[in-house]
Amino acid sequence: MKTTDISERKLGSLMMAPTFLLILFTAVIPILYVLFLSTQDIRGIMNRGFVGIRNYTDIIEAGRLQAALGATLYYAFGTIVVQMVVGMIVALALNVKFWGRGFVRALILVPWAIPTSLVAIMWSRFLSATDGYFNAALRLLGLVRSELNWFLDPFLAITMVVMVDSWKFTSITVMIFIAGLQAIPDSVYEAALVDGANRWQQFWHVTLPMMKPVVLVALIMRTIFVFHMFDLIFILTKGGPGDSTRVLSYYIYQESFIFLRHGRGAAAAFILFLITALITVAYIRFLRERK
Amino acid sequence: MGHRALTGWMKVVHRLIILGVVLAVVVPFYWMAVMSVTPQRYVAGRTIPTMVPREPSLVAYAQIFGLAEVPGATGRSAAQMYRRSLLNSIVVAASATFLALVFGTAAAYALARLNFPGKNAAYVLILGSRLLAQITLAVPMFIIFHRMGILDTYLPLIIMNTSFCMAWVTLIMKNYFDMIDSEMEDAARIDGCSRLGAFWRVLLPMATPGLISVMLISFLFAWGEFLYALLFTSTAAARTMPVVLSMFLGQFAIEYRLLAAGLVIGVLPPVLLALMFQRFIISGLTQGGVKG
Repeated sequence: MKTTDISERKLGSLMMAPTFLLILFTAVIPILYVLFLSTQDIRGIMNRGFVGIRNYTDIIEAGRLQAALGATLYYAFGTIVVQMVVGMIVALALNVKFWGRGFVRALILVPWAIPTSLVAIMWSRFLSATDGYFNAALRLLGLVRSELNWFLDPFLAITMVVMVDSWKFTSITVMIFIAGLQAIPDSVYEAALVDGANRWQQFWHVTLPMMKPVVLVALIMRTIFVFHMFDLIFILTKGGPGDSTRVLSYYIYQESFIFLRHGRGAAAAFILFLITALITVAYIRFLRERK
Repeated sequence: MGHRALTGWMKVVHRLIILGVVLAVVVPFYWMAVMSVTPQRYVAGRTIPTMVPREPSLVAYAQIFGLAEVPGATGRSAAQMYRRSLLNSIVVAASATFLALVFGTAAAYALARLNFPGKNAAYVLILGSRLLAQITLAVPMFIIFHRMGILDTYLPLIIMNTSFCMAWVTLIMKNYFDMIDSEMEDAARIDGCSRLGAFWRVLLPMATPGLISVMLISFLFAWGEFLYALLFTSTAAARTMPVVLSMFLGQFAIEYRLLAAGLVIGVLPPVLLALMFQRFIISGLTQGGVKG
C-alpha cells in the first residue's frame, strides 16, 4: 500500500514547511534582530555602531528599567490578586445549580471576547472625569461627591487600569476554575461530608488543595499576558501620570517609536523576552512535576 | 459544590453575587447602547449623563454606514474612515483566520501523526514563538516591512495575525489530533486511501469541533489586534476598526454617539460569536491553557 503513497518524511516536512517558515520570518529572525539592535547606538535614523551592553547599562543607570518593571509588577500583582479572588468566587457561585446558570455562564465569556482595544476605548469614555458614566454611577450611589479624575492620580490611574483589565480577563480565570471544579469527583466531597466538614472547611481543606494546579496554571498564564499588555495602557493612560502606568511594554514602545532610540528600546525588549522565558521555564518545570 | 442545596443567608449571598456578575457585564453595554442613540447634548459635559435614552434615534448608525448626512467635515471624514476600517478589519481578520487554519492544521497533523526530520525542533520553535510579546517584535518587523515596501497595506497585518494565530491553531489542534485514535485512518489506508486522503476524509471531519473552536479564537484575535494595526499603517487605506475608533477618542469634534455606534458595531460580532459558540470557545481555551 505504501508504493504509491508519498513518503512520511517528505509529507511531514512539506506540511510543516509553511508554519515553520512563517515562524522563522516573524519570530526567530526578529528576535535575533532585536538582540543585534540592542547592541547598537541608534538614535533617530543615525546608527553610530556597536556599543556592547551600554544600552542595557544606560536604561538601568537612568532608572528607566526599574521604574517600568515596578509599574509592571504593580499592575501584574493587582490584576492577579483581583482576578484570582473574584474569579474563584464567581466560579464557585456558578458551580452551584440555579435557574439561568447556562445563560450566566455564557454571559461571562462576553467581556473576554471583546477586543482589549475596544474594551479600553469603551472604558476610557465611561471613566471620563467630566461626563463619564462610571463616575455618574458612583455619584448616584452616593459614593463620590466631587469630580473625580482617575488619570491624574498615580494610584487611582493604575487602580483603574487593573479594574478595566479585570473587567475583561476575569472571564479567563472563571472559565479555568470552573473546568477545575468540575474535575473534582463528587466522592471527595461526600467523604468530607461524612467527616462532618462544614462548607468553609470543605472549601479550605478539599476544594482549594485540589484546585492548586489549576490555580497555578491560571496564575502563570495571566502573568505572562499582563507582562505583554500594551493596548490598555496606550488607550487609557499613555503611561502617565508620571511613571505610574509606564509598564515595560509601553516603555519599549516609547523608546522605539516616540523617542526613536531603537537601541535602548531593543535592550528593554530583549529583557522583556528574557523575563517571559524565565516565567515559562518555571511553568514547564511545574507541568512536568505534575506528571 | 452543588452537593447540598444552599439555604438561608448563603442563598441570599449567592444570588447577590450572581446579580453582581450579571450587572457588571451588562451595564457597560447598556451605557454604550444608550450613548449610541442619544443626542450629544444629553451626554457631553454632563456630570450625570442620561441613563435612559432621550430622543432616541438610530441616526448615528445610519451616518456611520453612509446612509445619513454627518454634520461637519471632521464628522464626515470620521464616518468615512470608519466605514473603510470596517472593510479593512474584515479582510485582515478573514484572511488571517483562513491562512492560520490551513497552515496550523497541516502543521498539527504533521506533529501528531508523522515522523520527519526536525520535528522536535519545529515543535519547540512554535511553542517558543508564543513567548514573544507583540511589542518585542514591533521594531524589527517594522524595519523588515519597510524594506519590503509593504507598510500601510493589508500584508503586514495579515502576516503578523496569521503567524500569531497559526501557533495557537497548531498547538490546540495537535492536542486534539492526539486525542483521536488513529484506528479509523489506518483502516481507511488499508482500503487504499492515501495518507492525505485519510487526513482529509477521515481525521478532519472527526476534528470539526476543534477546528471550529480554533477558527473562532483566531478570528476574535485578529478582529481586535491593535498594536501592529497601529504601527504598520499610516492612512485610512489599511487602518483597522480598533485603530480608527481609538482615534475618535481624542477628537472632540466627533459626537459621542458616533463613537458609541462605532463601538457597538465593533463589539457585535465578538459578542454574538461568544454567545452562540460558547462551548467551542471554552473547550478550545481551557485545552490550550490547562494542557499547555
